[in-house]
Amino acid sequence: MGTKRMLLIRAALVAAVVLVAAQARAGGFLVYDVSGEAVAKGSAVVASSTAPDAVWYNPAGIAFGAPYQFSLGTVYTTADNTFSPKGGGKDVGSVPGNYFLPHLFASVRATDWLYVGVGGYSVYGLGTEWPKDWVGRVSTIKSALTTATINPTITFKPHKDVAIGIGFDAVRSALDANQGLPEPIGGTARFGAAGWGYGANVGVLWRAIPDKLSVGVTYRSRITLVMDGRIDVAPRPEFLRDLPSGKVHTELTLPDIFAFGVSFRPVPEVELGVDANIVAWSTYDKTVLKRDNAADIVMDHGWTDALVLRIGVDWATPVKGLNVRAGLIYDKTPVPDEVLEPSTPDADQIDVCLGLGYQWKWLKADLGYQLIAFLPHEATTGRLGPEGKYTTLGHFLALTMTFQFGEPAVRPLAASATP
Amino acid sequence: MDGQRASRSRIRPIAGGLLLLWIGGALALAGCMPDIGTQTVPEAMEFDPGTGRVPQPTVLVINPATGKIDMSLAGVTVPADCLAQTAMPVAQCEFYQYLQSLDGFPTTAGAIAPATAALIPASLKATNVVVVDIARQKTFPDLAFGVDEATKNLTIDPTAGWDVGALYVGAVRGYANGVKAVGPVEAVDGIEVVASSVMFLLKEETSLMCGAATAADIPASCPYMTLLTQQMPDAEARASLVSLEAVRQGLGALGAFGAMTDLGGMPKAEQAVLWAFPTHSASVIELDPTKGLLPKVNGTREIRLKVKGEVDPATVTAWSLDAPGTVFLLDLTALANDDLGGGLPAFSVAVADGALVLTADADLPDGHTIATLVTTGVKNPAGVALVAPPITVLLKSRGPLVDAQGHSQVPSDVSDGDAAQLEGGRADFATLLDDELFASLTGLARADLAYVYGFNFPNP
Repeated sequence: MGTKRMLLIRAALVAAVVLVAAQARAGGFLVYDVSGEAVAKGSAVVASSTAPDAVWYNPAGIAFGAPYQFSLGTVYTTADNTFSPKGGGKDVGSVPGNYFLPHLFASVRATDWLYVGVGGYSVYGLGTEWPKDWVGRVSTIKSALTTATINPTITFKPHKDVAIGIGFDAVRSALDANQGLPEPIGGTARFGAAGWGYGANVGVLWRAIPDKLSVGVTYRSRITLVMDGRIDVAPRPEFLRDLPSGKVHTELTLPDIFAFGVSFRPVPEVELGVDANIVAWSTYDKTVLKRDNAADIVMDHGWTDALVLRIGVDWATPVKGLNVRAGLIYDKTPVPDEVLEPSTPDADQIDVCLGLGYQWKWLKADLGYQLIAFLPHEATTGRLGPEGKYTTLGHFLALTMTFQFGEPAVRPLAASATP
Repeated sequence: MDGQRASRSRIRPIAGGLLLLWIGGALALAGCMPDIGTQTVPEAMEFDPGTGRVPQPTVLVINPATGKIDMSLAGVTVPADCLAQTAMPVAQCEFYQYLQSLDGFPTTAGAIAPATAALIPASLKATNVVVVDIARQKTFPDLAFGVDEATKNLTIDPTAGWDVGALYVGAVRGYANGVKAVGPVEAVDGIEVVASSVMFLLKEETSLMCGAATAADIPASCPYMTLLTQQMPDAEARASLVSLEAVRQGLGALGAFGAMTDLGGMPKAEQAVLWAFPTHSASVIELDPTKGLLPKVNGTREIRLKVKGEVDPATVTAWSLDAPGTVFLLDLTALANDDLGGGLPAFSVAVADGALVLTADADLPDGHTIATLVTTGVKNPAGVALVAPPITVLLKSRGPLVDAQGHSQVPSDVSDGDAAQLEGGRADFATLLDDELFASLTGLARADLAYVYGFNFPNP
């Protein structure tokens, strides 16, 4: 035969390999809430956190905490996603997942003006899983992003009411995505990769009116995760030669996060916190999978920067050591309708938060719960998944044990629960 | 202060230990590379018209309008005047012209089925490589299989030649029960061979155009359209689907897959490649020394030329200077010695037992080169002239079969070695056919010849 071209099947078919998982919270795949106390207060703590978890929320905060403190705990999360196809049809529910995100923080006062802290936590990740034969199987069947961050911090306190913290983030990540391949190719493709990314953070905490008003601001830099892994394509055997498996290299940029918060204590027993976050999800606009043996795969995500508003209240009850907390979050999704995809069926969220804290001598236990109500979000173009409406309901339950030793020099606000 | 110091001394190792534990655990859980498996990639029987790696011969180059082989369908433009062009060697050009004169492939043509790796000869069983005669509803029995290591082609040789006027469907069984390809040392039993992606599409039960009548009407949501538009422009994808659908429908109209299943015992799911090809309908005096298809000498005077297909005896007449006929018997040794009488021995010809039987009036001299020529004046009962076998076409070529470096000048179909072997005979016949006296005596032109062969009597 000669040169007549009838068909040439080649490798770009896995272009829809999904990179990123997550469904449960905080817009995109950021899980902002990392401790029992913060979860209960809607994480409106940038201006008030002095516990070791301040390493994440505002590294300046550890300068106003106990001289020696550490905490450990976990955040349990789960979510139910439901997809309603456009034009009718049976609703599809995701496969429920249960995730435990551990956290551990510690801080130490080195001198009166220098504090050192470290945190280990997971704030990016989670996953989604849909039935293997669901209508959007070509977009995703199962996807998971797991991360672990190591975050050392140094905090200076040049003035008794002002502290500045600077931190370094080293993020280890692993990505595992499985999706169906379109007919007539059939079968599935799985992508897995792991790697490191590095970033920095800085925070300032100012006791504007001692015992009354504090102001905090934090910036966490974007982090580019550089990951190497493999794509394993398992189509019908007839297509195996045209769709080579092989090594892959990719980079995934986690967003810059700007946080601004005010903490106000109208009466000694009540602390109010109001925070605003800007999460620069526009960093997640495109992902390129570079392969050794085939053409690059380019995925356009087109996410946008998102605003999150938080309010929290902490009431020191008449029962000594017992605090009751509540919070409310409005979280604007970074995912436009036209690029909504089932691996990240994100939506605007309204979160209701409740929790308790109890402190006995040097031991403090905090329990927080968030009900995460995703507003219905409709995928309108079918570009990255089937057209239809996603509805999601998620839950966070966080428990943190904190061990604190020594008296803080001064807290941002007078802490009524301090023993 | 003492209490604080004591607390400090306790907390540091505890915190440090917990932190290390957390970091280690977190990295173990979150940082590990997912265990991504690796698929074993099978080899495939190829069917890629874009690269020419398709089984041959193939019905794909039969022009539906003319019913004849059309090399342009294979991307080859054949010049009308082979002597007035330089695009290809004269011999190649004439061979293409010959093919384009046929309504099917020569009966001595071997078949090939390209694969992505050389097949293991032991797996080439009669149950794994099957050719079915659609018209006669039976499998073709006499096949010899081989492997061309250089080209990775499976070769299928009809040991007694194909029948004339037949439509064959060939297939190779792949997958678990079929042929196996040579693989790495550790693959002791070889590697599984499957259908190519194109073949997979041709085996689909539904329209590759999703029911559309024209390329423009193919819906963008058609899965085959979606598949192709990921790798080629929209218009090209539509054109490809139209072409593929034509092939799919063509094979379907022939009942090719079903015939291979029912007659060949090879289920569609196990067919790694399937193709169809016709043989020419005209009768032919086959000539292929490798198959033993040669004139047969009986005694000192009789030469038999076996004919495949029917012959109208009335069209079979012996040529002489006095009586023009359709069959020639020449003593080239005598002619070379200017012995015209000895060079044109008197003979008679008849049709018996499916052969042209040439009987000389006197003994033919041992050691002389005896040539037999048959013209297109010999026809079958339907009035269709004999067609030449490929080797006759090569022997009467006006251009050399090898160049100065020994390369075949018909590289599409003839190896360097075969071309070199035939070149001597071709040169001899060229001397004869280009001789003006011979031409004036016989009135023969190359185009009139349906059979040419010379041999050292009595050993063809």
